Amino acid sequence: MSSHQQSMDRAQLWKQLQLHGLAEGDLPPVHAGTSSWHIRLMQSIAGWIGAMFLLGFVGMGLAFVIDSAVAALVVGAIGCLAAYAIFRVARDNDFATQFGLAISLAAQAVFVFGLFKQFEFGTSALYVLVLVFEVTLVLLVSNFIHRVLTTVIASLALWYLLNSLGLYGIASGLLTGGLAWVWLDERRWAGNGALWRPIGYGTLLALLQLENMRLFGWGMRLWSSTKANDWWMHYGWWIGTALTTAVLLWSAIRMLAQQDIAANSKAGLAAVGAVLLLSVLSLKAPGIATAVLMLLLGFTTGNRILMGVGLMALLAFVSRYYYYMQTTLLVKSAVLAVSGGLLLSARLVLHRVFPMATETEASHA
Amino acid sequence: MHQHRTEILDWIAQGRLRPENWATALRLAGTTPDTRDWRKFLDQLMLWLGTTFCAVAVIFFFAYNWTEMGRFAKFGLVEILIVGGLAMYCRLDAERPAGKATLLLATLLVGALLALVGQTYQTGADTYELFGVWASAVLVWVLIARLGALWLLWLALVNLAVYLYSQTFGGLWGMLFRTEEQIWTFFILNTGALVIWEAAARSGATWLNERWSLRILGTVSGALVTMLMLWALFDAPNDRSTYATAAYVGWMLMAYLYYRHVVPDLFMLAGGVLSGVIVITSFLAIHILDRRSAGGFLLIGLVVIGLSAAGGVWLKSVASGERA
Repeated sequence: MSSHQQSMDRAQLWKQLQLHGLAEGDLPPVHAGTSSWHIRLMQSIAGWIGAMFLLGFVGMGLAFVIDSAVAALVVGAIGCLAAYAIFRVARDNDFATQFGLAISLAAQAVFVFGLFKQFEFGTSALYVLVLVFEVTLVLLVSNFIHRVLTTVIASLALWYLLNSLGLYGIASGLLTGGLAWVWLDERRWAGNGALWRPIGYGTLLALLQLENMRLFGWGMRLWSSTKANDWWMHYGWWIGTALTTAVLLWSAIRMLAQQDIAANSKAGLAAVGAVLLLSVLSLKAPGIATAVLMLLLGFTTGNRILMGVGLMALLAFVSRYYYYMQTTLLVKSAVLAVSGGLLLSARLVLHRVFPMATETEASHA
Repeated sequence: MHQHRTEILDWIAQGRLRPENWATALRLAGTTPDTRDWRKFLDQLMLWLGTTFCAVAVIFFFAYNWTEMGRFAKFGLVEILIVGGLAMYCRLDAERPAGKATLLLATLLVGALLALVGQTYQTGADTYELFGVWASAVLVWVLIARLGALWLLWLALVNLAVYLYSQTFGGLWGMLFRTEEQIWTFFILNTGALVIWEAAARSGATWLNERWSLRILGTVSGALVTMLMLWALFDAPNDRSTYATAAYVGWMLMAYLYYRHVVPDLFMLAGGVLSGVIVITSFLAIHILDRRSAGGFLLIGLVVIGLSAAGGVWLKSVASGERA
């Protein structure tokens, strides 16, 4: 970004937009109702703490709810309806929405507890119901934090559901597709941001969790299903990885198109080649392709949270790669050395093939 | 960049920009990148990722302890890489990222070299000595690199050395390094680093004025002082709990004054609010809850909700004051 762009204030930015025929009318007033991510993060953690105490109240004072599946389902559903009503009636009241958030989180826990009591643990029907319940909440409750949290729970329910069906390894590929689908189109993340941005963040958080579990093979060990068949046990992981690769390729082509660069041009082919190399690396070091995708999506949308999470995920996956049991340290070392060497060589090629008009590198990363 | 992003997204949500203009408006405001931004970003990404991968590859290689390779070959390899990295640094412009990346590479490789010394000669040295010597050996490079990330790495090495020291001597000097004393040690260490870093950033070292690294350090310091306060609350009253309370109140006050009035930072203020909510909740839980009190849970739940909502209202007013 140029220094001119950084030094612009709101009024100058509005004037610039007007000069380019992109905006009309007076400068809009500052919208005080918008929360930054710092505030939302604080409120979501506090909302969880509040929900824990409300659950304590239910456990202590309303013991019959814990004893009966039907009572838990009814009380949970009533709690969620109450939260929905609060969010609809008093969406601009901070106290009411924080109360609604805590009520909803506690009620969801009670409702899901009721489902677990009613159905046998590990059955697909249980996870379908949790998934439908959470997706309904994502769509109906228009609170940002609530949407992020319910999207996380819905995504994890999808993962459990696929595993309970024996379809191992594809959940993270599907969620990666969802993540790219949300963040690669400004009609979604910018145009209908109230709905899609929290869904995008929720998918991001769930994906981090899934990749972390995949790295350690927990998905296979903890949730092995009787429905699992040999074919999926052997190829499910490959299908998931192929899905992630396809999403990366599609994302790269979309990002190139946003810059008016054809996929069959010199730059386009270089980008496609880089994606394929990254995918090969990810076969040996799971999670790296997903983390790089997060980083790229963050950059292309100017979203520092996505970039920060992608960068941290990348560092975490590389560090945890040390403990990855599938290959020896010698093989891991070779994979990293080849990847690092290729990246540095690619940088040299970039400097030769696409030299910058004036080399003005920033003094920091 | 982020400020304009918020503005443009607000205007889109308010219907002040037409859908066909969204992409152009986002680009014009510098929110989304143009081709030149992409070129610069990919250049940086490949440099830092490539450097880190190469350094980690060397560390993994020595951790594998390949017996086929003689010890002189191993020492030769890592030493050539370090000297090569430093030679590159001398050739490259020290102010450019590539120069700084070579110092990062050399810094990480010194760790591999020290681990190799311990592995080969079985010196009997404790692990904390490895990290302590590592941190001391690379200090000069960290000083000349003028790179925030490298300072964070150096601080992590010092923290690790102190932690391992406490683990090693925990049995011998149990009184000195009980958990509470460990938290105090890390709190003093990291808060000292935070204060020095903030002061250096204010006094003109612009390369240190990267909010993300200061926020990481601030979060560590704030989390530790909150842990001390919780320890004091849950422990029987004693001298140490008085010191912890004084440290907590002092930290919160200083953080408020500094991050509200000197260097406004909403992230740090939000962290302070969350810390306050946690401490007040714990205080109430200790004094109100008992096994038969369902009402106590409800009351505390409502207090948490009220406090966090009030904190949110205050933070929003601070944010809109900054934006206006």
